[in-house]
Amino acid sequence: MLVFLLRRLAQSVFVLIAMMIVVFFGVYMIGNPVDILISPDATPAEIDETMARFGFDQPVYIQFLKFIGNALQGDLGRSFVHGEPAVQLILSYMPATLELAVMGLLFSVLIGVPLGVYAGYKADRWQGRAIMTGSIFGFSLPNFWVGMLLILIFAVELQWLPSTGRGETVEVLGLRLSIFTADGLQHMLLPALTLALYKASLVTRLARAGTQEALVQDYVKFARAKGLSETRILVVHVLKNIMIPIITVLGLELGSMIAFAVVTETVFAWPGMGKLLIDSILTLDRPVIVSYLMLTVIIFIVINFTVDVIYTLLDPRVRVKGGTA
Amino acid sequence: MSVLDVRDLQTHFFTDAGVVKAVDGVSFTLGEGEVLGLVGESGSGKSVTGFSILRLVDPPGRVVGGQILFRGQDLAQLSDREMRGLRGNRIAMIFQDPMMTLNPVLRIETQMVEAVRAHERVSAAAARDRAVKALAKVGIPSPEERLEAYPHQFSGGMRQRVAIAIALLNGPDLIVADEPTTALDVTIQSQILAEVQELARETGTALIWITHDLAVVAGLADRISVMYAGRIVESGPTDAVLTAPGHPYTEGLLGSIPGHGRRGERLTQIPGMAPDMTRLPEGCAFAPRCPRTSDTCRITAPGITEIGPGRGLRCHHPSLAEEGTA
Amino acid sequence: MSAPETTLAAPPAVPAGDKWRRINMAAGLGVAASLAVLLTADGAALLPARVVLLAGLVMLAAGLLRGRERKFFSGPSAYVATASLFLLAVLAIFATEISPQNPYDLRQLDIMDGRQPPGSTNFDGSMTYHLGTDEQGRDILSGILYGLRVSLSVSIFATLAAMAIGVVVGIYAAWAGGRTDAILMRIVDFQLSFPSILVALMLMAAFGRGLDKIVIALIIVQWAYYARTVRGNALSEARKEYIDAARGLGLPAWRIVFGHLLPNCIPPLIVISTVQVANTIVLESSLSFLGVGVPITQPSLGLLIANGYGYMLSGQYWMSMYPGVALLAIVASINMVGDRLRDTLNPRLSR
Repeated sequence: MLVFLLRRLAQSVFVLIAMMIVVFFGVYMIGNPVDILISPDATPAEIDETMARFGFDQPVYIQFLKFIGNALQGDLGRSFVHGEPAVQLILSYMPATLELAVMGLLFSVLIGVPLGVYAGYKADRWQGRAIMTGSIFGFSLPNFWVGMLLILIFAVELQWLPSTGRGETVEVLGLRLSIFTADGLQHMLLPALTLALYKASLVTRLARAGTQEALVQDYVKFARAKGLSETRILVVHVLKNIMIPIITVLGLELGSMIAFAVVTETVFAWPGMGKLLIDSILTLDRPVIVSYLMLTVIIFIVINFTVDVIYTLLDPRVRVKGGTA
Repeated sequence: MSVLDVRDLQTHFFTDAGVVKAVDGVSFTLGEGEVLGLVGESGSGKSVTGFSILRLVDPPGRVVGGQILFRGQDLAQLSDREMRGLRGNRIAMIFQDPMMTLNPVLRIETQMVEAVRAHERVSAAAARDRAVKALAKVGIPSPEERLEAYPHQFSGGMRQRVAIAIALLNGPDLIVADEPTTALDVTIQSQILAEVQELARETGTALIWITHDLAVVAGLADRISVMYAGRIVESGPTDAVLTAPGHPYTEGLLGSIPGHGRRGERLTQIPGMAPDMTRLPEGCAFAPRCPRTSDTCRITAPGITEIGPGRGLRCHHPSLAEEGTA
Repeated sequence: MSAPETTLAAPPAVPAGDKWRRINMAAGLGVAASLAVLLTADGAALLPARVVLLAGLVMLAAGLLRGRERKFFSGPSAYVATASLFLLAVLAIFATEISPQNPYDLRQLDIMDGRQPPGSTNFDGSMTYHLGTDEQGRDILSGILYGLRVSLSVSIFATLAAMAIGVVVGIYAAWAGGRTDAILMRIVDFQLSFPSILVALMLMAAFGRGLDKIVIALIIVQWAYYARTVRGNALSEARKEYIDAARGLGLPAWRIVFGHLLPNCIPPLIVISTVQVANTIVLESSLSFLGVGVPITQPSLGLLIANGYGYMLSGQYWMSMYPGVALLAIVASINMVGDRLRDTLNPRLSR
């Protein structure tokens, strides 16, 4: 298992380097950042001066090496708009996105798994079919539109929940989080639900397929022969077996959750790094865009790595193989 | 009163290819502590009979006729809930493949304790205690520790012992064992056979031992019923059936077992293949493979005839003991 | 393998009767020709071209389902989805003819008619805004019809182009094998390790708004997916006997690839691409919603929703609500049809 993990680590480093190259040539080479940095009516001398100040007058490979060198020290430049170091800026927005993504993931499991298990149990009945049709709607619904409808219904019409923002936060382990305050939770409910919808449909389908597969296994028949109730068979025997693939998939989906949070955060004016990214794109704040990309890559790598470890812990069969190796 | 009385059981499978009469009029009775060997090739309906008794036939299969009386009570009349109360409690089952019957992601303890607590309001500790005793009874060393283990940490033979221990947990009146030793090594097979025999005798549990191997039940069963194409073609006390088989199919089964005192004799085999259950011949299902087949066999299926004390036979041309030497 | 065997092993016949093959060819040509006319000409040629386009599409769909109608139409949802997809396709194709107003022609818009609720009329009563107007006085119904056309054509075009690129790369990788294969697949893996919305967002940030740009971005985020699928199919297909047989016959490589490998890799792609069109529509609308998609002058459904978003909180729901309903309808019908197609054409992929 150690060999396996080391290999994954090497792969990750490769991805990181590749990403640095892509980001550098993608974001830094397309267009001239100086156009945005200085006013259009600047004199050629002023332009040259700015070019020199940012090092744009140097050959590409020197610029690239500098970029890499700075990046390795955690320096990806300063935000043009906020004036802060970009990495720090993003890190300060990150907890909001992370808690939203985690909450969304939690919702998608809480909604998707019961529905999917039930749909698998009643696969040939109308209940199962209805859930499957519903799941098609679930991943057909455009995320941002759902968010708007939820705002319209729960915030504007019923006025049960706040429409935008993050609400009250508390500092936990140095991170500003909303999950631990009632007000924060209220603010988080709608965006997390919106974010969860697509994944909930995915989980429903996964859980249904897994349940159908598990139900024809001998161990389920044996459990029935033991006189167990159907509820216990579904909740203990089937669920425990299907959770392993679901958690694997979901873990990998945490990354895409963070990416999709861009849309949700925009709808709900949730002050996370997704909204920061959109604002930065609209204002062409390149250091922030670059930092966002690099940090997301790192998050993805960490997630993939963690999923492997969790997977190993969850499945006793894998665990033992690893232990003896 | 008999423990189990199966009368004219019919279990059919409604498939796209047609109705398969997997069990077609099977009857037998089983007394207290009695061991019945239910013998037949794969596809003869013996396992389906076993599952029918527990009402665990999977769709598209369904019990469509007959009665299964357990201590005089018709199981078909019970609600799902009442039936669940019997399963694993009064009627237990052991499955064929021990590698598949235990849930791979649950510890043995969980799987045993839940079997106790599904039927009795006892504390987890008491249930665990009973599990330890059951494991010890089936010969699992250091049962306390083994409870913590997952199924994959056991060998096939050990897993089957665990399954047997689970079947014994609630002291059932009847155990249906569906080829429990087929998937195991020969040495372990005989160990487990000996142990089960002893346990059944000790506890007075009636046992239905389903197998394709006459040799397995020879030393175990009190009575033998031979199934072919969904029907019992011959039944009777073990000794009588083994020494003087009446049905050509039983003879065929016996002829294909190498045995004591038969060194040098040719092993015979039954010609042909197990029948296609969707297209059974009109008369006797065994006719196409039978050495004694006649026109009668191809037109009408034989009924059950009594050929001795407790012996039934379905054959137009039985080989009677007197003629055996001819 | 011995010689007689090689000659016997023929490639599996592409299951199309001669008549149907000709009909499909004709339909395909008709679709291509009518698209060419629609993109270049204007005036009187447009309407007939649209009719030909619709007829061609219907014929192609019929050819796809030929002999499997019963399996496809099992259950009411298949009928509903197909009918709704057909209806929406008609609306999108004939948007110009049907809509009361050309929403992209700013001269037709009157800012005085802005933000009118559904059912109101313009000042001289000559026109009723059945679904209301947006802040520029654009008839929402017309906006939806034109937006539907933009969303559909952008997504379908991007999906087909991505599929074409993916097929070429995938088959090339499978055929070349070795280092070429390894490098191409590393690139594919690398790209697929990032969510498509993130990649598209970055591309659009670099490109700026525009119909052509969003199409390019949507192609770039999709091609790798097809390349991986096609490579897998091609590899398993290449191991089969008939390819050996064709090689044994001394056929040139291009004939084996185009005559044998390609036709057998396509069918699974039809199902995937159907669902992919739906995903692409959602992706396009999300990008447009975020303000990095289609230009403001040619709003797609996503941009219409975004434009109305600001007014939603003040209760002027219609500007965002109805375009959203249209978006949901088109995406859900495509997904449902795709779901049925998967069960019908490719039982192996179901579950």
